[in-house]
Amino acid sequence: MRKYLFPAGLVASFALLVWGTWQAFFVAPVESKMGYVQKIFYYHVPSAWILFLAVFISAGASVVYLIRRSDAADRAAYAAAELAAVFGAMVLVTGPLWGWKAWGKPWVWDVRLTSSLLLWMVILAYLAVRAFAGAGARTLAAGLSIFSVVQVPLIYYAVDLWRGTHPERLVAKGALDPQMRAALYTCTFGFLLLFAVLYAARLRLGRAQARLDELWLRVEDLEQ
Amino acid sequence: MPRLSLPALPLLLALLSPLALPVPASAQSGADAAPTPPPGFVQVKGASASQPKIEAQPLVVASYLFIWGATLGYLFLLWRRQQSVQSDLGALEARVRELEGE
Repeated sequence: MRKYLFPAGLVASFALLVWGTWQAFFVAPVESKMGYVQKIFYYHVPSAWILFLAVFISAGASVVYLIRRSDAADRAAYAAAELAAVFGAMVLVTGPLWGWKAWGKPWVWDVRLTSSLLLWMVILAYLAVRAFAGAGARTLAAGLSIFSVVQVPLIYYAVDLWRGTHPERLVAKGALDPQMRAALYTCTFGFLLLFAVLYAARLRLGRAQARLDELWLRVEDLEQ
Repeated sequence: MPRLSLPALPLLLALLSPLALPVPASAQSGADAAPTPPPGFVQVKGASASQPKIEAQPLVVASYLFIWGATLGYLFLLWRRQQSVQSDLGALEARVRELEGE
């Protein structure tokens, strides 16, 4: 049964995303100010939400790791950080593509954009520490992960605190056309399911890698 | 010829600047004068009312393609890493059995 859970979840997430894309292009109306380019919103915003979710999971697991020194918590933090890097890349590519048309240039040093870029760079720093600094760097990586989560509220409320170029939090304020909202939520559920499936697969890989490390030590012991 | 003092130079340049501007078409006369454009906005021939879509479309398509590409690319990397780890696990488990049998 568990064998089919991964492909089934993957197919379901892809189906939701395809349905959401269809709604975004053929059901949701074209936005009056920005026009057709606003269609990027239906993938850009859910990617950002999933980025935040991944950062929260990574930071939460890092806190658990620092308290209990649990290998499972460390693996959970690492897996979530890797997915945060993937979804962060999605946000940072689709945003400038949208801005290119909406603002006339792909990048402006707006607070939300700059803090999002900083968050992504901290996540990359976490991954670099994990990849190149060895097992002893787990504590440093956990600290980086906790530091990254501090930036999430800053990014989220940046448009309220410093009125910049980035559009307002229209979804939170309920200022969204019902058809636009339906398309957005379908895409969001698709991304959420996709994240769950990818996270489960990445956790499985982490467990297999841990087992591999154990076996290497066992072989070394037996050979001596 | 009197020497031009430095403060007078900007004033002279300001007075001469209209001469450097292109002459408007309405002021031109003769055979090489440009035809007078009609007043207001003019529709581009062959363009539809949804003209802005053409500019936005490549950006929208690129965004959607990037996300699908990143998802499928990450899935492929995960699958390859899992295959590699499983293969190493199989080899090591066989080695452990072999060493324990000795």
